[in-house]
Amino acid sequence: MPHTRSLLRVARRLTSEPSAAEDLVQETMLLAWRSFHQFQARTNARAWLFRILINLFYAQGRKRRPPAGSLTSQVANQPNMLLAVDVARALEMLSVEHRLVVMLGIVEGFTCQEIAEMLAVPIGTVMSRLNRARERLRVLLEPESVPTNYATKGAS
Amino acid sequence: MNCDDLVNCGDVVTLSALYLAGELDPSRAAEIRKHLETCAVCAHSFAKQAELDARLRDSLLAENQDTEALDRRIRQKIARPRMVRTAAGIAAMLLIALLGYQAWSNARVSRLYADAAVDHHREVVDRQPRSWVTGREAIDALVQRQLLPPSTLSRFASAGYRLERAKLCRLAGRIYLHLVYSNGGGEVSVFLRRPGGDPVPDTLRSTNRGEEYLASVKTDLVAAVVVTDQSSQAARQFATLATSTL
Repeated sequence: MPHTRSLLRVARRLTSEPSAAEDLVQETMLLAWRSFHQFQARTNARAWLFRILINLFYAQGRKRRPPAGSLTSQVANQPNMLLAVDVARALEMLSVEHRLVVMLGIVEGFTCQEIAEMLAVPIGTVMSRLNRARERLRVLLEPESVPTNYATKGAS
Repeated sequence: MNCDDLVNCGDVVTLSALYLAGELDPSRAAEIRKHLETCAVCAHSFAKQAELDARLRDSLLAENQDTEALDRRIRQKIARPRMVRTAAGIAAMLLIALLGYQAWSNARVSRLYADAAVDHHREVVDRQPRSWVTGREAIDALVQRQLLPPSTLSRFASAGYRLERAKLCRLAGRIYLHLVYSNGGGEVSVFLRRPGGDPVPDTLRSTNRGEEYLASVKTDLVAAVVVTDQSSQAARQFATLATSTL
């Protein structure tokens, strides 16, 4: 089935358990199937599917989100820790909003405009979330490479 | 005009997401590229960022997820309501077909009754000239020719009526043996045929059509329609006798 792999990849980053991610994708596909008549006018089916997935995710509330911040605080308590974590761990340490823009923008290749429409936020919000998420990831993944003067400049 | 007037390091950081996503209009993208050529800090940062993006993509896209089971689940979920809809559609079509068949067969029965009533009225009540068979043996021969049970005529012996005459006639497009019974005061038409292709309902039915009382019945051996102007009771009596076993 087209797009399920892509949807599942993002859903996995949003939910705490693989089964919850699969449920989310399944619900997304079923809802898309049922409301396909609403789709005709749009051209990007993939963006439309992600929009449904995100809406469903937010509609479900926080019950399925992974426990946030456990690792983040651990890192925050050790400012000198230069050990890079792996990508998956680094992603987990981002907020859900940042994780979403990273997955959609960097991994899945959506444009900021498309993401803004999916999330129903201004494009400027997506741009700044992406910037901050990228900085955060650089700090987590390549702590030695971050030029301190630059990193603070963009984070205003 | 100095490009730095248009794009400074802050602008580049702000627009980096659009630039990396390829969303900037060409002139703006050109300004950024120009800035990156002249600003080592930004150039380094962008290079690192591109590397990091690539690393994220490689790492996350490499995660091999088996979506086969999930796909199957989704397909089943999608297919199930469709199957229910299809089943409902088939049920609806069957219902329509059934109702259509019932209407059609009701119409056939109506036509049969109408033909029988008209035939009785014309040939028996009005006594229009027809070539009737009157002898018992000749009538028995007709019974046999119509492949009716040999005991057919004896069935009606107990009705208190006398067999007057017989002939073949056509009702609703089928040939029936028309027997006329009389008790002196009135007459009863008994239309019989070997069952098959006739619209006669299986169960005993009685009705009336103008002055004529009708009854019909069918068994494996005989389909019978009875018409009389005597009484509905007489019609039913003959219909019942037509199916009696001797």
